[in-house]
Amino acid sequence: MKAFLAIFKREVKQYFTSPIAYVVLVIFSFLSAWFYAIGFLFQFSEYCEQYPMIQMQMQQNPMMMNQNFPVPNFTDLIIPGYFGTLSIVLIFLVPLLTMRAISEEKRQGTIELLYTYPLSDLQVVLAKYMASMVVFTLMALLVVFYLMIPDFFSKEGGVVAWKPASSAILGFYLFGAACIAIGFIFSALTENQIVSAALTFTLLLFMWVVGWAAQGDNIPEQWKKVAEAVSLTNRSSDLYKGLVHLSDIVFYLCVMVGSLFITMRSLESHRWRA
Amino acid sequence: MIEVENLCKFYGSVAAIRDVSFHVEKGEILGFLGPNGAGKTTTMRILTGYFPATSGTARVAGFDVFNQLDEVRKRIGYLPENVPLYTDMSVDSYLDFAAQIKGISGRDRKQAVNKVVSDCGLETMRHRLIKKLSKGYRQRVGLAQALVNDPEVLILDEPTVGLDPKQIKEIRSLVKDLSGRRTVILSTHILPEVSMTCNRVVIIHQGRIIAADTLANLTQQNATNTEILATVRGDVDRVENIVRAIPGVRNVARDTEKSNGRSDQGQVLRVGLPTEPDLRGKVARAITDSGAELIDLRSREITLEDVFIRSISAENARESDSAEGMVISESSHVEVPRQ
Ligand SMILES: Nc1ncnc2c1ncn2[C@@H]1O[C@H](COP(=O)(O)OP(=O)(O)O)[C@@H](O)[C@H]1O
Ligand SMILES: [Mg+2]
Repeated sequence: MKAFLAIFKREVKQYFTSPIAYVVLVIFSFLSAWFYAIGFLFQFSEYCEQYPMIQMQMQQNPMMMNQNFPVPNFTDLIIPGYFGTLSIVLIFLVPLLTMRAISEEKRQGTIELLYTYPLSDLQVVLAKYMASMVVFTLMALLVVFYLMIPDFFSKEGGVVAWKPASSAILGFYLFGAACIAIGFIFSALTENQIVSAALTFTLLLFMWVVGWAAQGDNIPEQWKKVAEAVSLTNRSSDLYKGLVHLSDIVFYLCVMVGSLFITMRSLESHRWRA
Repeated sequence: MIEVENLCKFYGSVAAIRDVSFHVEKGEILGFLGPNGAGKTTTMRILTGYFPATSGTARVAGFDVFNQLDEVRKRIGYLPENVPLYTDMSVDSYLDFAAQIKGISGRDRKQAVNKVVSDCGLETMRHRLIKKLSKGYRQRVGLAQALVNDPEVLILDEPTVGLDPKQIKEIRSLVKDLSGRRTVILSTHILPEVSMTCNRVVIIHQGRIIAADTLANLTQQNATNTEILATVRGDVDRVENIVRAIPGVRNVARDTEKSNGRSDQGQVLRVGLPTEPDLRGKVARAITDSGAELIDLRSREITLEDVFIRSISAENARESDSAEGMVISESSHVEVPRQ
């Protein structure tokens, strides 16, 4: 436990004494603020303005009732898309966050001491993972803060429905946790940070674009099913809409635990590969 | 304190060490001597639990390094060969980290760090980033890290490699002072280092132990011959003949390498003598009587090479005795079939 704490503390400090955490946080806060503002100021308010007209048209023309023109509701209209965009942003930022976690220890040779201190590989991996999760948690908290802003300014409050919003936040957190765990695999595989980041990015990107096949036309049903099953981003779409399925949560937890397990195994492998 | 029996380690199908066995008594400083690639690091990594041996057993402080690794690790302080440190930490925070990771908590930790900082002479560097330290100070930080949990056993892999002469001297005396009651294994490829710091020496060559003894015994063993280097100015050819004529002198040769080609600085003669009787005085007088100037006369220092050659030939003699004339080849990396 003390060893775990020692590594965890060191890693967190490492993040904030090097520029990495700041770069990631700054990029993320800029992009997340940007997409939030776009969604809120333009898409949502425009729709609110147009809605009375649409309502009138709907009353005159019953055909329009079949089309989907929901009551302007921020939570339903904006949050799923906003969180979907944030997920893509994460795909670009997570490789930066995880690239040096273990590869740098390999490059500097400091891993030799870690291997000979009285501690287990599990402690090493978990402590480092938790430290990365600290940075990611800051990112998630920032998003929560954004969601609170509209309520400050509206008189009635209740712009954001917190029940579906928390499902979205949960989905975002699970998605990020899974991405970081995947990044750890590649960080343990190489001693080169760039290679580690590039491989992580490639895999995350693939797990995003593979989901497009699930929506595409002219694609066989079985393929769509496979695409849906392995896509890391599609899994969160229901959570972002406020629909919590246990299967989605379990999926992300499995990816996370599985990736960390592979990471641990690859750390151990030096003992028999030598 | 440390018992190593028949350790073998294969990298793929190549054996890095074969049948390595030695013992280290409690409180002893053992010099682990061998040229680069001999298998020193490999052996030390097995002892520290970095990786397991392919076969054989090793016990540290009574605990098996395979089955009771955690107990072993708690009792060992290890300084790896290239002194890997977290270079963007300060000395203080790094040592605090090392202490915590070794399970020292709270106030004890502060005390432990303070102690190793003052023991290793790091007081003035406490707040400096490790990457801003000289190599000598980094070595001290590495030592401090190894010592912070006050381990019974200290394993130092080439602690003086890459340092300048002043730093080497400092680190050697530091190791000697800090060893205290600890059991120390110190690897090196420099023979004099062993004589300065160690009680006993194990020589490893091409993955095998070829000698284990006190240094005094090793440098005298089978030493019926010595060699002296005489720097002579004058008619060197004549001197050579005169010295050769002294009864007992084994051989005389000119050392052109050491003479650096300038006759005004004298020429170096290598004179082979028996250890008994001592003929050095006679040789010196013969040179001066011949009219030439004797500028310098010294016994040649026994080098690692000499000890090797002696140990290897002794080994071969033993083996060929037991194998009844079988020729043992000395080829370096004998391919050993994968087990
Ligand atoms: N990871 C490795 N893979 C393959 N061979 C290795 C590896 N490490 C060391 N060796 C070989 O094992 C032998 C012993 O190496 P080492 O223990 O590092 O020697 P020393 O520390 O005495 O210089 C050398 O011939 C070296 O080339
Ligand atoms: Mg070595």
